Amino acid sequence: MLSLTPDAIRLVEFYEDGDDVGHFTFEPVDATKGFPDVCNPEKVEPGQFFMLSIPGKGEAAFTYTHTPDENGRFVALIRNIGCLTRQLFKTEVGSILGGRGPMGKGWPDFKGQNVLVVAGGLGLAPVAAEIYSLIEKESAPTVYFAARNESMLVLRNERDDWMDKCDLYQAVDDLDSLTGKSTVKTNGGQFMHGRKLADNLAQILEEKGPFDHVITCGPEGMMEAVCKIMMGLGQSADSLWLSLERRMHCGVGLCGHCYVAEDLVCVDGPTYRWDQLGELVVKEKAIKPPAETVDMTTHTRRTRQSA
Amino acid sequence: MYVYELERLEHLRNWLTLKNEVLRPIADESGNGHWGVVKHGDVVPFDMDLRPDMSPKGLFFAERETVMKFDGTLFRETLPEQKPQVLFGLKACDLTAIAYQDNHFKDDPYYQARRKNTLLIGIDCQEACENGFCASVDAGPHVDTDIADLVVTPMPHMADDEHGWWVICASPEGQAAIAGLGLAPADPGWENWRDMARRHAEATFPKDTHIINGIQRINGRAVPDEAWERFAHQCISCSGCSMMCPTCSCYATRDVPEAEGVIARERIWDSCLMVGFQKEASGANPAAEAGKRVYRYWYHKFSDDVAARAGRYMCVGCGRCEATCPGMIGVHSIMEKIANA
Amino acid sequence: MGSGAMTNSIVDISKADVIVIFGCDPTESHSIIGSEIMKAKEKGALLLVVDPRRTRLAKMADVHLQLRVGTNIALLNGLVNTIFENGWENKKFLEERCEHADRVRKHVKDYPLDKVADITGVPMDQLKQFARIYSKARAAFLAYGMGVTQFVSGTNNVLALSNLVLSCGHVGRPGTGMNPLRGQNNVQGACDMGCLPGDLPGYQSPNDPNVRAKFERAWGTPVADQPGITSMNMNELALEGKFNALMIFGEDPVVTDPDQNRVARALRSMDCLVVVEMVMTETAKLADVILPAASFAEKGGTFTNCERRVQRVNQAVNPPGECMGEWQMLQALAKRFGTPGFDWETHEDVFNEITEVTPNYSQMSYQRLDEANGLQWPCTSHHPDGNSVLHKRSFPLGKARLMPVHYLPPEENPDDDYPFYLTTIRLHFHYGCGSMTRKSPILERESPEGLLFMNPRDGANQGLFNFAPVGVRSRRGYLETRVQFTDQVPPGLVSLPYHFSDTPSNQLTNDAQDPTTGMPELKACAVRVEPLARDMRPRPIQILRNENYEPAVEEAGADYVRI
Ligand SMILES: Cc1cc2nc3c(=O)[nH]c(=O)nc-3n(C[C@H](O)[C@H](O)[C@H](O)COP(=O)(O)OP(=O)(O)OC[C@H]3O[C@@H](n4cnc5c(N)ncnc54)[C@H](O)[C@@H]3O)c2cc1C
Ligand code: SF4
Ligand code: FES
Repeated sequence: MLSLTPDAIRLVEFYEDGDDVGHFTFEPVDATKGFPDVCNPEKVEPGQFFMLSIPGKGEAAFTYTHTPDENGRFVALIRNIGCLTRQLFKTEVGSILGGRGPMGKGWPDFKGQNVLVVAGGLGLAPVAAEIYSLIEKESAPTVYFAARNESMLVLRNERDDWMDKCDLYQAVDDLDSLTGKSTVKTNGGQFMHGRKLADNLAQILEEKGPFDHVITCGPEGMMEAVCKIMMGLGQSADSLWLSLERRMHCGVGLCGHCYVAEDLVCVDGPTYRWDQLGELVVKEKAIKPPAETVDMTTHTRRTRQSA
Repeated sequence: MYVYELERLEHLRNWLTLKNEVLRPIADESGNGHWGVVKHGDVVPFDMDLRPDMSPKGLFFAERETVMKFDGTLFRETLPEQKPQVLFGLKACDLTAIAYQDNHFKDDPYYQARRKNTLLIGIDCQEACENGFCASVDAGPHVDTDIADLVVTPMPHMADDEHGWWVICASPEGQAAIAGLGLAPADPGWENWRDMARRHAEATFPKDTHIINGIQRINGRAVPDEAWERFAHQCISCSGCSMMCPTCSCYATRDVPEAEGVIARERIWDSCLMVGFQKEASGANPAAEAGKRVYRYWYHKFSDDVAARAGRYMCVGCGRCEATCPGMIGVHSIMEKIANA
Repeated sequence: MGSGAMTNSIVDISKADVIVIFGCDPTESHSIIGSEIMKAKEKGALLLVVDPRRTRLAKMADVHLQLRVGTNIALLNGLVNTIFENGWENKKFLEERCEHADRVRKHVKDYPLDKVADITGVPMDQLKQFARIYSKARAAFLAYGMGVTQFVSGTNNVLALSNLVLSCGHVGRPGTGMNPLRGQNNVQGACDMGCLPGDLPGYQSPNDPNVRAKFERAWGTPVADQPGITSMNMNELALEGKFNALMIFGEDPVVTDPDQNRVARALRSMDCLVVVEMVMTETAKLADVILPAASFAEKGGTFTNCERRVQRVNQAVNPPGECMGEWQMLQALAKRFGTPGFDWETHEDVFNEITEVTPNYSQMSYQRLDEANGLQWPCTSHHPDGNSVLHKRSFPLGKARLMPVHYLPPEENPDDDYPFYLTTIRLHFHYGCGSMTRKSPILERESPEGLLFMNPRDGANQGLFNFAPVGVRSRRGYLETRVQFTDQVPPGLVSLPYHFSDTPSNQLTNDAQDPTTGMPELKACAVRVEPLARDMRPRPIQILRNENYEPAVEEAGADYVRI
């Protein structure tokens, strides 16, 4: 049986990490009988998410930015955007909240592969855990992170940490917003121009490529652009991975809110391979596209993800 | 499979009331059918043509229910308690829908708590009902014995004569429920008779070309976006179709404060035809256009892709949405439009 | 034509071959009627829509006259002129049943098509097409709504409309009529019962000594011989210190009346304000005493709908706590005041008293209402089973009078400083001031914020993006909200729903009133739209006003007063 009842978790740490963005750490309230699944290091994979309950306000999905450590502590990077998150930002450290998870499919295992991670804004949250995990597996990825302006350069401590463990390229759309406050060095020492996505990716490919896989996460428009650009640069569609966001109420495939064509993002996603997602997106459009753009017969649906 | 002969349905119904709460279709003053409790000794004749306006899905997947409570430190699951109950006189369409939902909610503790204590008694329809097209989507008019515990089917009869019934024990639970009633075993010819009755019933259905054609065109994605947008002008997002539909299963959640700081989380039926269904907190909405929502509703009901996951088309051909839609885009109307789009 | 109700019934929609929807959107505000219209259209009726906005029905319509806001009269006069010029009028009807047709015929000569096209922005051939279809119809059903009445020239708008209807004779037969769509379920009932400043129950005039004598006999007390005052007048007098106490039943004027700041000031200045409510509205917050009201499901009585049908409301559950029906409250008050004559035992007694003093209701009783599923007034000894079509043979005044009316531009027009027209609209997920519907989480999700609707083209010109935070300023007030692009409104027009207490549209609107009815000009005023910083959150009015801030509905899923 599935459970729609959260386990009690405690908010143990909070600091601001960008404009209207908070860095939240949680731990199990009662680990005497073992960890509840939501904080169980054995069960959570990078790329998966959990449902956070703020009693009185409801429940919403957030990805693990750090998967649970040996004490069951985990981190989420959360934007203050709606009624529930507004309440979360007012919640005092030490309060009891609810957690349910882990949910969805995580990223495939990219151990030993040359991986490029492309993240935009808060899209760094769902890939952060994967970056850590790849570093641990001695397959440190190349990371490209772009934000609107300096104040949206989130996960500052994490990036600080990655700086000398992997190749980190950074970009902002608004170069004028840079005050030099950001201590995190970017590869080559300079911020790239965020709006020149295609040029930046081409440069990175030249310097660090070719890549076996590309993971991207950010606004949907950006992910689409990344995939198209990378395909233009010769990356195959089945080596591009992304993480999708949909409104969610249950996280376990019951409530129906998160659907894309016949898929439920909460169980079939949120991580998708570009070609497979493309198949779904095409179905969402009522009229059939010309045969040469998508040949429906050549893709067989995957049952399990594998790299 | 054991099959018995039964003189009057009311006998079986009364027998079942001894140990269970029995619900059967009943008409209210305005003539609308709903599921009502029948007491032991009740002699009201069973009306086999009455089909409740609301599907029985609400008896398992409640329109509004509390899923858990938080008392300040602990979250507690609040499972419903269900006494043994019998749904007496389910038509094939509704039974097919229950089978569909059994699968969708197979791991849902609230649904299953109610469902596992319920005995389903199906009844074979003898003719097409208004708006019904179950025969076109493999959901009737006769009950599939895999999806009920007992099935009752009328014996052949002359004109207006009272006829008897065959009772088919379709599951061990069904078999157990009639143990002790002392029914006589049926003649071996029952199966042929039932088959013939089915063919007679199937012949009463009006033409369904628009349904078949519509299904083809939805799956061939042969209906242009503009056409969906046009149909959607007539969708006022009242969500009536989703509420009436026996297979629609979407819900929303909300937290309700109770006395002494306790918070209850409820779930309530929702509908994908509402503009806010997929709207995210940022204002982004993957289904902002009404045409897209209407398309998705029907794509979900009739798409082969969804059918591949769920085992069948979601639509069971009950026709309730046609009866309820104020905008004339219920199943028959929309399929006509699609077929001509 | 003489009476403020639908001349025909909802079933007449299905009997019409032409349906005209004038300045309203029944699919949003009267969904059942909207549904009937869609059904009729599916069955082949022609649908004509007159509305500045591209409403849902406008998108489905055969002809949509998308006129400039506030140019109704010019349009109608132009149509009537076209009809007369082409000889498409119903001569027999005009001769036998109307008077002053010639005056109007002469008067509308001032409205040739080219001039009308200029004023209204509607192309000439569309106007002509409309005139032709309407006048040649076998039976044309015309419905109009708040878009017509809530203008300075509201009364004149209705007169101009009736000129059109009468000149084509589309009244008094099945499938025709001139049919106002009322804002709320029981507005008709309230009007019927004399909740108008100049009427006693049943539209009987207090100026008539016979009427007064009848009521004095029935009630055993003298009755007023002068009309009362309108709600706008009350505000005025209150501010002058001449009006001191008010009891409000289930209204939220602070949110729904125009020029809210003034209303709030007026209410504050009274010595005693009693509000009878189910939920904590903005108005209730100003009250000295709040009395808890029973909801529709918790009391018995009757409602009268827009087709004049009096229907029984059956109590389904007991009211919680000390809540009670309004009649019980009035009765209790009367007792304390020592006033006799309020000793009904049940709500049926109240209804029986109504039937005694209201000729239109005289043949009704609870039993008859139950049997007939409601009866349509007039239900008199001549028509004991009620009336679905009014004016079959004659009008209340004998012959119907056509009235020449002039087009006057709206009181306030857009200019360089305030370049947009603002109209207020209703969303079907919310009702009135939202005090009830905004408590429901799914409805709240459906339209969570008081959005400003704007044409995408205007949006681009203003450098806005969808859901951008904006400030909206008129000469009277200022509020902040988010902008949503929609092709429903034409360029130059913006619209704001009037349900939300955080973004009360009436903060901005004009309180110029119609001289006859006192109906405020809610529908049009000039505003300017000011972009706010892109990540700024629009501030609710309570913060902008910066006084006793207390959000009415905090946030979705936040507070449930009662459900
Ligand atoms: C798989 C996944 C991972 C996510 N990870 C993160 C993350 O790491 N950091 C982060 O800041 N945000 C993340 N989000 C988005 C986050 O869930 C929403 O921003 C948040 O739910 C909206 O804020 P709210 O609940 O305060 O809004 P409200 O307006 O209060 O929303 C009401 C309800 O709507 C639902 N809802 C609204 N928007 C969304 C949405 N975009 N996605 C899912 N449900 C929604 C929720 O169930 C919520 O309870 C993620 C979303 C998904 C689907
Ligand atoms: S879609 Fe309509 S006809 Fe099909 S099962 Fe649902 S309500 Fe019945
Ligand atoms: S979130 Fe409920 S089905 Fe995916």
